[in-house]
Amino acid sequence: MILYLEIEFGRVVGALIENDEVTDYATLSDINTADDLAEVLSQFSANDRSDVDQVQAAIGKLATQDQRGELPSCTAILAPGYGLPVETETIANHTKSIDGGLTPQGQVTQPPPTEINTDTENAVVSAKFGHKNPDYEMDIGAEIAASSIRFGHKVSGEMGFRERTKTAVANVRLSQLYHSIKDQLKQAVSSADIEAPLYAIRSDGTLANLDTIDETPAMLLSGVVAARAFGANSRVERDGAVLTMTPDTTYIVPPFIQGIPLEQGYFAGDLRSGYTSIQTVSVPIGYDTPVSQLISANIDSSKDLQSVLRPGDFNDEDSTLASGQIDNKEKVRTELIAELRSSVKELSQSASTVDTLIAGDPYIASVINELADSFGAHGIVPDTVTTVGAFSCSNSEIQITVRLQIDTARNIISVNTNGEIYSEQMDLSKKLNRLDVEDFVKEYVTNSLQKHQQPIASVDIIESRVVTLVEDDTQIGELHTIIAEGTAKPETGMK
Amino acid sequence: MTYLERESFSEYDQSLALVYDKKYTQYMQGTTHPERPERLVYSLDMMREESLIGDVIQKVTPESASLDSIQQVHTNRYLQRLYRQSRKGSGSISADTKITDQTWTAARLAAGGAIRAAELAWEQQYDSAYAFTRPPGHHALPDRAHGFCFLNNTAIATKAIRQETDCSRVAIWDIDAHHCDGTQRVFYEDSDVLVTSIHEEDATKFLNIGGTEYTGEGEGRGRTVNIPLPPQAGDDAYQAAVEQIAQPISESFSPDILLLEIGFDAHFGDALSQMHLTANGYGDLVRKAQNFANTHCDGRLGLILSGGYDFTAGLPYSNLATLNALLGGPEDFVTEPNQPPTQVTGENHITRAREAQAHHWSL
Ligand SMILES: [Zn+2]
Repeated sequence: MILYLEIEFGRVVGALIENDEVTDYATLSDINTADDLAEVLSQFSANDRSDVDQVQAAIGKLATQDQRGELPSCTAILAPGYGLPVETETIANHTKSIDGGLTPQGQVTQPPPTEINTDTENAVVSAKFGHKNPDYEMDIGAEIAASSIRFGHKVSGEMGFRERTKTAVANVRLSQLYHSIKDQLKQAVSSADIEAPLYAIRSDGTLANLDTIDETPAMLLSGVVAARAFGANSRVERDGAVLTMTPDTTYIVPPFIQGIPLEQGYFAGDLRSGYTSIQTVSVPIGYDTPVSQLISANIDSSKDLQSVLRPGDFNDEDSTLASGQIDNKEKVRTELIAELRSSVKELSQSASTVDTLIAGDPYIASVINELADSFGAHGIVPDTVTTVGAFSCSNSEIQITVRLQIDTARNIISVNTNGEIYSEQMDLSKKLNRLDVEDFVKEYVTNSLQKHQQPIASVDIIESRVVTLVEDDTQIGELHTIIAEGTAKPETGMK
Repeated sequence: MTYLERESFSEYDQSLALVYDKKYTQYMQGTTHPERPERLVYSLDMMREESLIGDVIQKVTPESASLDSIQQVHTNRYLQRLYRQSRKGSGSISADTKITDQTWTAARLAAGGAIRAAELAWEQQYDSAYAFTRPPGHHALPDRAHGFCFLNNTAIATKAIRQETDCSRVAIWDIDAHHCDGTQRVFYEDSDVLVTSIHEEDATKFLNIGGTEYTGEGEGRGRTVNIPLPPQAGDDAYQAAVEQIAQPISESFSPDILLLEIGFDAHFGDALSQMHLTANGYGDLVRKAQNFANTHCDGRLGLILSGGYDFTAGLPYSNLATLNALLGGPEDFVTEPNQPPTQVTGENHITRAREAQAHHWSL
């Protein structure tokens, strides 16, 4: 049995799922502490709790805190180097640029200053071509007195300088919040006597072991939206755009193509993340949005949209706007539909025609038919819409992107994954002669990830490049850069 | 990641198709040969690091040039020799140009890339198209080749576009440090193809037909324009050569499309020439080609990569400035790690080249 959790500000949804059916669910508002979280879990029977053999959590709080502008700030120390100019001021709250930098081969053109004044908790150090010479950023980092530092070159994947740096900024700014949620979650799960592996749902709908993303929480920013979109799609078995509301934002997810979503980075709030994320169009209205923002006149501005829409006690049959309690609910409804309508229209103009709209939460469920009608489209409310994200659980896979550098001249392999880099010395000339490079990489990735508690069932090579290393007109080796993607089924069972 | 890329470059308002195949980085003449995969690998690294690949620049995959299309330029005898030696796995067609088992396939794919870029430029689905290919082609003559070239990519693309579409007149600007002897030979008697080459005066030694006196023959009289420049000529000299000669002659010729064969070996860091162009200097030349195409060819501009061997500096930065110009970016946008040396202006050379064209064109 899988326990699915959606952790938002002020609201947690928990659902138990077995054989692709939700067997029980619980929700709680005003959630802040581990105790509150434990209270949600306590609503399930002790029997059920002991049957849970896997926990999958979508952490919406990360994106919401960002959209509310409540994340701690960050100073970025940048070496923008050469090439195209970099608008450094758009990268972090505060930035400092260093003269000189790295060449495309990673050579340092001018040593960085030895004294860098930063009065900051959170810092990012990032250089253009920083991944070609990790020592350069590390040397700069050694001069900075910040309690938390992230490095551009460690950001996993194949991003350019700007994306890499912005993603590192997102990682460091989310770090504190992520750790507190992770601790609360572990505490709550353990106090509910659930002993099962814990996974977080990433922005692309894949899973990551909760402890492997300490350095890269930005991977989770669209986790709630991804879970709901995958869940809604698998539930209705029909291609359509999924609309879903979070506290401050409504997301419109373009129709999947043969079960596969369009992908992009995250950009709904202040943060930017280049990690693979389900594609969305975001509308800045959520269930906590004050109604006064939606319609200026005749409304008690202290009431938020949640109280206006009030979808009962998340009882599916009653999840309609009609259950709203205030006089001008029709006006709120009309305004909301008008806002969503223009965004859906934009989407259907830029993407393929959108002829089906699927509700991804109870708030949207109450307006989906009217909204769809206004396009001549079909509106669908999946059954058990409150816990629709839970239906993504059964098919979820753990996915890990690994960037390997294999230097056969220096006999070094470095593996960059989840914001960390491991290097190891190895006699590569023999190995690479004996085995095809790709086979070697597949075996190496599987073994090396297993060593780091990440079981891998299959490894795909996404990209592979090689340059010849030449010294004094003689070939001394090769430098392979390989991007591999490891996939596995999440573990089940008592720990 | 597409949104982040777009967000970074609000100034880029032009679309660009980059015709590229991963196989372009796999073909080798030898691990220490200057015409090597790293020429493209480091430039692709640069595009990735600057977030240009993806949403800003669209990659388009080429197909191999058909036998029929390469036969329009090369003799059967030469093609058979190239094919046989490549099948055998070794051989050479000149002292500096070796044949390997990959040559036949790689050369055809490069020619196919040039054809695709010319087609895309013609169709105008994108504002411009750039064949980011290797091996290069402009030293390939109909019946032999040298200078790291096997098939004349630009000539093959020129013939193909004229056959496939209603394009009849093509202007080729060849801005590589070396003279495009192969391309010149192919079109030397053709009245509908204008071949203009700006090159280092000593870099014509292969066939030595890059002097100002070579202006075309028969129906092709006046259709060959050679502008040899002295060693150390830089941005100003190249600008003047384009403004005073290439541009006005091309304008009178009135082409349907402009193909720019661009070689980055005239960059000051390149060991294979003594020229002193900067990365931004390349950008300015590309901008001139773009302006010309916009004004006189309905915007039809195709680029085809030629030489460039300073693969960790001169080539990737010059290529970056080229892309910046094609995308509509500002002038002098690219900074380079190395400072350019002093340049000569080459005024006398330009005057001589202009005089040589005076009885074909009013300049
Ligand atoms: Zn050349």
